[in-house]
Amino acid sequence: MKLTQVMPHVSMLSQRYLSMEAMKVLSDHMATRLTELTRMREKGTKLIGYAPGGYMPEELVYACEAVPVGLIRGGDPEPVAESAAYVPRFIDTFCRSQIGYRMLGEEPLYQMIDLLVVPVTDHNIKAIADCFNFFADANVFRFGVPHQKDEHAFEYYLAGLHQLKEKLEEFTGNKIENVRLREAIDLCNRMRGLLKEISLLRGSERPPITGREFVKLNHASFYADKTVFIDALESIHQELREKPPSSPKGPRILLTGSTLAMGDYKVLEMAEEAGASIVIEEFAEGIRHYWENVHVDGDIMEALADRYFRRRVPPAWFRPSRERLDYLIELAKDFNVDGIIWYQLMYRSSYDVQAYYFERILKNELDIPMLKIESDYDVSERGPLRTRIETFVEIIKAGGGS
Amino acid sequence: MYTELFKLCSVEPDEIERERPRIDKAFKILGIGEEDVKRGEKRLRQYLDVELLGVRRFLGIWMRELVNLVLAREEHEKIVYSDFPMELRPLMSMMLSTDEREVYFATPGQIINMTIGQIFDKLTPFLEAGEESGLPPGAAHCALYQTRLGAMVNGVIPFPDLSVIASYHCDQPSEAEELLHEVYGVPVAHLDSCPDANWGDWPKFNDHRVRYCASQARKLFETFEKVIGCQMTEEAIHATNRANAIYRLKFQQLVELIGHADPQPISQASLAHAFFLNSMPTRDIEGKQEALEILYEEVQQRVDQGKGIVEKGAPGVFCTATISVDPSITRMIEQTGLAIRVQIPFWLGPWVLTKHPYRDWADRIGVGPCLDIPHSCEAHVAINLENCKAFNVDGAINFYPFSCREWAATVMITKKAIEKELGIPVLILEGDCYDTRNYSAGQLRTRVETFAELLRAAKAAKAA
Repeated sequence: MKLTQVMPHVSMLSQRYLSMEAMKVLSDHMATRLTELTRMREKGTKLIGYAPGGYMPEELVYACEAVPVGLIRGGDPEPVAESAAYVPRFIDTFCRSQIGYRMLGEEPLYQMIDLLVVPVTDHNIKAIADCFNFFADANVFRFGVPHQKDEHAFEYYLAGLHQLKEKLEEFTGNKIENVRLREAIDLCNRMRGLLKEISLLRGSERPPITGREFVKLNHASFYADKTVFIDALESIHQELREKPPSSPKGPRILLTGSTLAMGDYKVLEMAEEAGASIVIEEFAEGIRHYWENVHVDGDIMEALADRYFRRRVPPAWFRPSRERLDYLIELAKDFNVDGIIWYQLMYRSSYDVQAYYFERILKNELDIPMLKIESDYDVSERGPLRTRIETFVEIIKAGGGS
Repeated sequence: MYTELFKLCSVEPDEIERERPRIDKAFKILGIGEEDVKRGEKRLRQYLDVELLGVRRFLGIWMRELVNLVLAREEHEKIVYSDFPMELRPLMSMMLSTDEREVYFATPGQIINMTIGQIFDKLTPFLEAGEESGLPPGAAHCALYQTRLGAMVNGVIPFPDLSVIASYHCDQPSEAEELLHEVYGVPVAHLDSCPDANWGDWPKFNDHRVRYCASQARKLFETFEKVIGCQMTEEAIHATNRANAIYRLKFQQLVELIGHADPQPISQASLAHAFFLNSMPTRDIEGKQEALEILYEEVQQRVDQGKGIVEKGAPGVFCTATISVDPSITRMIEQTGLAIRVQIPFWLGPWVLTKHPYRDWADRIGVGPCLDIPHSCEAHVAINLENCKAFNVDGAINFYPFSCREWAATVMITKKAIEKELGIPVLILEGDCYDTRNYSAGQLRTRVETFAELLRAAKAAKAA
């Protein structure tokens, strides 16, 4: 078995879906990024891998002159199968995949990282850290993410960020100066701001960019050089604003769930092929959270904690669960959606529980339908998934489902 | 119909007569009929050491609590629930701050498991009701929480006025209780923490983590005072710590007595009834202490007389986890000729006695357990190794419960670590502590029998 590598997933962007020049530049950059990272590493630059979930401030990594790499690959059955030698099957599929990618040894990025940072959000994510530690003998650094947002939780998360800062300084040998950190924050703010502006264009009646295109663009942000990426985003944003509507008018869908990994595009493809438009996504892991920026008007570390913890839309394991659910309701209203696809991975129990009562809340508050689907990255799921998604889209088209 | 059963649980005839109306009512709600009672008696005689008064006394406490639980709404003004992995001390402190007639405290999942599961083998309707009410099958939800939700939804036990739950050990209790809150409007207080210790930290403790645990414990007590309308008292906290220390110390002595005895004097399945009472906030504090004292004396007698339930000289094993709803698996392991020297988490190792700046303080407010096994995977492995060394076992059975994410990452790591460091074989078994539908007893037996043969052969070779 030979797995495809991470980069081609993103480099497919321009050839298949968009014809803009900026996309070609970005695509070319992504195609050579692995080589570039290899060379940087040979020259002493540290690659800091991290488990996605939106709790790891990349700014800290840039500020110590290292390169952050989000481990967001998923969708392949082979790593899931491989992980069975290390963890039981009832760990979340994406988390098992991360263990599988590393242990299979066929994904260069998973082997190249010098340090893995794991913000411990739950026991599924924690399993990645434990297996990388024990079976792969990797350098791993954990810090905690409490499951609620009171002042003590904020202090705890902030303390974790300070420990991370110390670890990065020690590991890279570079002190994180405030000046460098502010520069990194500006850079990341610019990137998030552009992603947000592009995403908001999908609020229009006929979005100029498809959900699949946007998600791939978002995924590219985990690997691309930030300067190149921001240049590309600026051009793309400019072109999209001027682009005449090209997408067909179809049911507008909010796609939400636990993880939308790079390479796991089946739901997006199936929905769009059935004639729906994925106009907005909300996931705990796999895609970058771009709605909020860091506001530096006081202590810089507190500003990071404020953005990454306090103002971050919480995942399903947070309490009270209403913050996330109310946010989804607002998102559904703002993007004028006709239905919600709730896409969760196997054994992410928090999402499974929350889906049960969210469907009722959705019915009461917006009276729109929801389709709950689940994946274990198994090839055999594709047929039944397609049938269910197509049926869901057809029901909405026919004006039913609510 | 149930007189013999209750006698078997050491309930005196006059108490049975006095309590008959309550028992009748509770059994009717529970749907326990004559067949169930007969099956219960048979299972008790088959799997537990009911010839020992201490064991019967423990069974009596569980059966009384079952009746109390079912009738709690009509007999008390307020009800507070908790369940594993919540530690006993905060619960007991809250309980002892209240009037017995007004506020009822329980860990309903544990009570149902130890009675409806262990004794009557009749859990499935509760599990199915839980599955239909938001914790569906096939998604590896914790069966303990499926059971308690199902019992509430089925109207067998009342919904509480407050649920007090810990998320420091695993994620699922809090997830299930959020559902209870969102769908049924039950107020829930969570004791939060983060299992974020780094590899190499054990047995050091993270200052921030301890402080965070403490802040969450205080918040939990405040919620309790607000919702239940009772003030926590220093007297209750002292009484809790005193009672807990006395019980835990005696239990530790009993575990060590059994673990070092050859032959193994009683079944570990019997010991489980004493262990789980250490996480159940019963008001019968004297009763459980007395039961433990009696059991200790009885076991000592067996040891002195050289009596046992497995052959003398049998290979000794360390076993992780214990199935609280099904004593047959523990008995099956013993019947294959293996002496279960110790089970996790029965024995407290030296790490508990380690002096560190927060130990006394953390123990006092009941967050001590947040610092031990949930510390990290590394701690889990270290504690398993300590158990194996302390009881000089010939092998280990790493039984892990289906659906337990906290346990999951440790399974293969523990196996590798024990095999590498101690050079003894480790058998991994997947089962479920709370749902017998998730494993096949026959398949487990086949594997354990083979493992037992291997250990016997290894022991014989070593002796030669």
